[in-house]
Amino acid sequence: MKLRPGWLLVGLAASFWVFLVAYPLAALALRMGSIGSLAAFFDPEILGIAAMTLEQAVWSTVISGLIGLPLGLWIGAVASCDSGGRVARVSFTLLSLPYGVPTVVAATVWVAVLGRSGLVQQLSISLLGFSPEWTRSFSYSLKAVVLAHVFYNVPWIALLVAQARWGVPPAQLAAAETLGAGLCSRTRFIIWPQVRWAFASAAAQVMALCVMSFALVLILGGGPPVQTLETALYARIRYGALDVNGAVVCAFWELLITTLPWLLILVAQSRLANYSGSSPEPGRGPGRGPGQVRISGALGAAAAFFFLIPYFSIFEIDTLKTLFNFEVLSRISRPLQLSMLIAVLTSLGAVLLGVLCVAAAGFLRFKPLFSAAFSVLAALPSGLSILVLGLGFWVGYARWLDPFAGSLAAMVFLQIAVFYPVAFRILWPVMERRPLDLLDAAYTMGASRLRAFWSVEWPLWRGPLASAIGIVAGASLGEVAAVSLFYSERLVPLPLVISRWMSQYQFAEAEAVSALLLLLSTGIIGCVSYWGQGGSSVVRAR
Amino acid sequence: MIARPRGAAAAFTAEFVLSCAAFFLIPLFIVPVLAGSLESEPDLTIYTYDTFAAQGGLGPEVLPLFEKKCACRVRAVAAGDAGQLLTRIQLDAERRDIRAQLVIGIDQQIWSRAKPWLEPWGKWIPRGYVAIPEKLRVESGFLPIDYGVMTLMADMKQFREMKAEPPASVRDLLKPAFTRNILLQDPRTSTPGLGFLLFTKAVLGKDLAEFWKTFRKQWLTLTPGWDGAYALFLKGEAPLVWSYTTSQAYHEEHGDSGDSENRRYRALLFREGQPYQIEGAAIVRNSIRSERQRGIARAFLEFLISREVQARVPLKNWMLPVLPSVTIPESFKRLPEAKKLVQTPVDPVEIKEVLSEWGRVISTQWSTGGTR
Amino acid sequence: MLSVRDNESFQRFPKSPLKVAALRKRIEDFTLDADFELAVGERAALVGRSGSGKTSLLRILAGLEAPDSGTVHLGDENITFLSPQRRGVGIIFQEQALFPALNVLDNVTFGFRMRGMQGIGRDEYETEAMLWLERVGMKKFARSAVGNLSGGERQRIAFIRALIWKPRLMLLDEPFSALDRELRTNLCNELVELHRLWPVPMLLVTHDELDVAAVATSRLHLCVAGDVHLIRRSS
Repeated sequence: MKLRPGWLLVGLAASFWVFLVAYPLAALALRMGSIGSLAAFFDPEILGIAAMTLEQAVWSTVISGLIGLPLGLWIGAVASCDSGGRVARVSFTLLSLPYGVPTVVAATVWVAVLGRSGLVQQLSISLLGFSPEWTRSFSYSLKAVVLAHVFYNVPWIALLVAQARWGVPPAQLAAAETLGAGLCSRTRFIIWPQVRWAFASAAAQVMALCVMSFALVLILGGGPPVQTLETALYARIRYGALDVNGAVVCAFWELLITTLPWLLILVAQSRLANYSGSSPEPGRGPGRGPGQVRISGALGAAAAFFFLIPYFSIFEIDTLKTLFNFEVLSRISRPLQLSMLIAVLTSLGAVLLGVLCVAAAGFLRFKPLFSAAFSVLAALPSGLSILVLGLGFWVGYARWLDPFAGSLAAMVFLQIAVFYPVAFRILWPVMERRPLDLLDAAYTMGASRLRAFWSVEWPLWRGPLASAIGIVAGASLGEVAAVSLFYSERLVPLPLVISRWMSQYQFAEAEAVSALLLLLSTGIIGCVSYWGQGGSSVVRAR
Repeated sequence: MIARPRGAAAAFTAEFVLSCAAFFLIPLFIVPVLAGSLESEPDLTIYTYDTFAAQGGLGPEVLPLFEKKCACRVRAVAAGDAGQLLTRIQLDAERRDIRAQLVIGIDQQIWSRAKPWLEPWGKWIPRGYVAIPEKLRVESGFLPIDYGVMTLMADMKQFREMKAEPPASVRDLLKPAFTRNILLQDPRTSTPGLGFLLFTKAVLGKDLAEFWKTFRKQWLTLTPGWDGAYALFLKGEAPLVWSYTTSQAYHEEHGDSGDSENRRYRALLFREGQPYQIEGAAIVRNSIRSERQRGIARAFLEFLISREVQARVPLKNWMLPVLPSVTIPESFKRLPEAKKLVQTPVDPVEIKEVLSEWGRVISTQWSTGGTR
Repeated sequence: MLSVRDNESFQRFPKSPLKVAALRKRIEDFTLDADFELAVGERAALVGRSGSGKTSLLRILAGLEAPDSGTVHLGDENITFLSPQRRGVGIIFQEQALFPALNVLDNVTFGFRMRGMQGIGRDEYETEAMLWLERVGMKKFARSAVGNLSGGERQRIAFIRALIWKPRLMLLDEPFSALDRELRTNLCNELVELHRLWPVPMLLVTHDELDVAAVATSRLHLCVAGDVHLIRRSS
């Protein structure tokens, strides 16, 4: 019996998935099982940490949602107007930029804004002559953590909501208006049903990310009791008597807490598919003049820009002078090359694996049972903390890889495992809308398969592929957890140079490198978002 | 909506993707693995902490000197900090794949937990070991390389602005003047942080829990490591940070005044004394593969306490050399001398109990109005 | 009679003639200039090439865009700058624009719900809607999702939705363009039948002369004079 190529695709995708995700998780699960005592899973200290993890994540998500939803609706409405295209594109780009901010840099930024000698204090003193007590107690508290999360996540929610709003056919809104529907009714009956699953998906992603929050909680939380399972896990594997069992228990609770938003993401994605039949058109929305649209667009862009303002605090004159110092540049050239290499390998690997999964998912699309299982398992890494997965790599692959002598392979594999769902989600809509009729037309006109692919399909794939590569590369540059688990003296990527130099009292140089990292990662993502066709359908996996 | 795939298009896409995937993905996965395995095995491998092996650290300066002496190849593998070093040697033993022969950077607390995985010297004593003062010799098998006296560093500029006096004892830290004015490290992830916790245990004894219940309101934040806390200190976030007395020397070498009245960054001393940290090196159990390798390992240990290395310790490691005959820089001579060096608990069981008690006290502050 | 009630019970707007006077609108690189009248019950067709401003005219008449100058009257009422919600104009789009989150019945009764018919409850207007659906053979689809309907079925629902609440002007923007010939013919006939139930001025924009012949009782003529696109009654 001849094996169809589709099943080979599925087998290959499954093999990589087993290697990158299933085996490490199985190793973790086996370790959990070997703990033996159920009481270990109900340690009061860990339960307290789990409760705090949930509390800060819920606050962050609710506040981010309350701000992100109306902002997204506003910007999406502008995008759907004829004359709103360019300014909306700018807004989309601005909303996607925070995604590229490395969390370790974000923590530094918020200290510079909220800290004792930060901007807020200085402003208070210059305007009021003194610094109110609440501004001083705000920093290094749960409130500071939530604020930092909100600035990180509002743009993400707004971006996904705006994209969904942009996809609402203008003709439906026009028809509703002529049928007597005012703004509230149009929002309730037309817009909200088509936006709510995008909102739910975004909110669930934000919730999962806040649960997995690490650097921000560590620096801004002020210490216990403001801590998360991620920080507790980190403490148990990176220090002292190697409490792998304790780390595994933390991972267990973290997986449990992120399961609910992860399931919600899956449900939302499938519901979203019902409304994703056509691409957004720059349609003619209900009567607003071009001038009005441009003003609305400018306001939306200004609101999107507001969430980037804190990050500018890292660009002081002294920081820039330090960065452009020859000695500093020569010392970071090798880490920079390594970071770029990791970013390139990760992005290529993640995108290729994403392509493979997309092709396999396309083949399985009409075999519902397999399709459902494949979708769930392919999306699994989006609900995992990189530290948890890294722990699984550590426990599962220590026999073959040597993470302690540094492992470029482990860094790259771990990042591929976490980022390939991003590529999958960018590329899947392209697969769904393959122009089979056009391909058939090309074949009937004498084109070979390769020529038909090149002429008809390739123009549809190249934008999203470039976007996926750029977005994964940008995210990889700023990623710290994977590289910190598997680095060595010869493998020190740029994010680790920051902590190294700080340990050597070289704080000014460390800040300069933070600024460089921020520029690189957000710059790549910003360019991709502005020029890439697939940037409009970015879905964040981490 | 996805159209039902028709034979030709679907098959082509499948074949094309399959080819691409096989062509690029498999080598992409194999190359990083192979890259790691192409290097030849050195004569001696050392696990060490990051700053030792990093550019600008002590390692890159002294390792070539040793390699020239012994005509051998030495590789330093950075492992993070002292706690992470212990993790590494534990896991190596668990995997039965011990890669390093020496470990540099464990301190006296880590030593007590790491002993099962480290090799005693037996009858062998490193040359120069007897020159090390008694108080710095922990136990046979542990070679002290440098030591540091832990203390609070104060930003006197902020104290002058606050018109306050810096603390002079541990209990002074509970005063309202110091509320949210202290930067500390998390004892669960940081050696200095643990040092502070154990110091309070040694000094306060049974009052430990009471002290920390109140002290919980005094710190500004707990950072995972020394570098995070010190970065915040230098930004002016708080006037006090838990560090080493040698930090004062660092600032003096980098422009701060040498005059004790006018200097900005000053190391404070407690009436009760100061805790100290001795960093050392040891041989990893079951790691030596040949007598030649054992000879190189021992020679390296002796090299670490030679004048050649010890003279470099102050300005490279920013710690104090264990060899008293080594001349230290003037800035180090001006460091305040602790009235008493307090011995902190080293028994791993006791350390674990102290950490658990601390964790319980701190976590329950949630309901008693701790800073949230 | 279609409805169990007198037609006027569901009527909010009187039947009025349409008068478009010196209406001008600058669109990209040309100016639209419209001046014509439509009588009550008249079905006028407007034929012209793509991009000539036909859809823009419909959008201005529906209140979705504002003209640069000129007036639009329905009877004695100047509706030039009246909002679409209060204008009482029904419009059917090429892509039907049915609301995917609402089922067929809710789509059809949407206009009633939005306009808050005085003294008429939900049961009554749902009954009215079911009668209209039965008229076009769609009663069994009342609770179906609109996404499950064929093109022809969706267009029927769009007709009913636009007509059921008795608008005072009907505008159709190429409603049959995506349908096959046989279906088009059937729908043209149904449209004429439905219009007879509520004979208000109707303006049909189309490319197809067969549609014009099947539906229209008169024509508007679009001619290009330089960068001005004139819409006038045909002589």
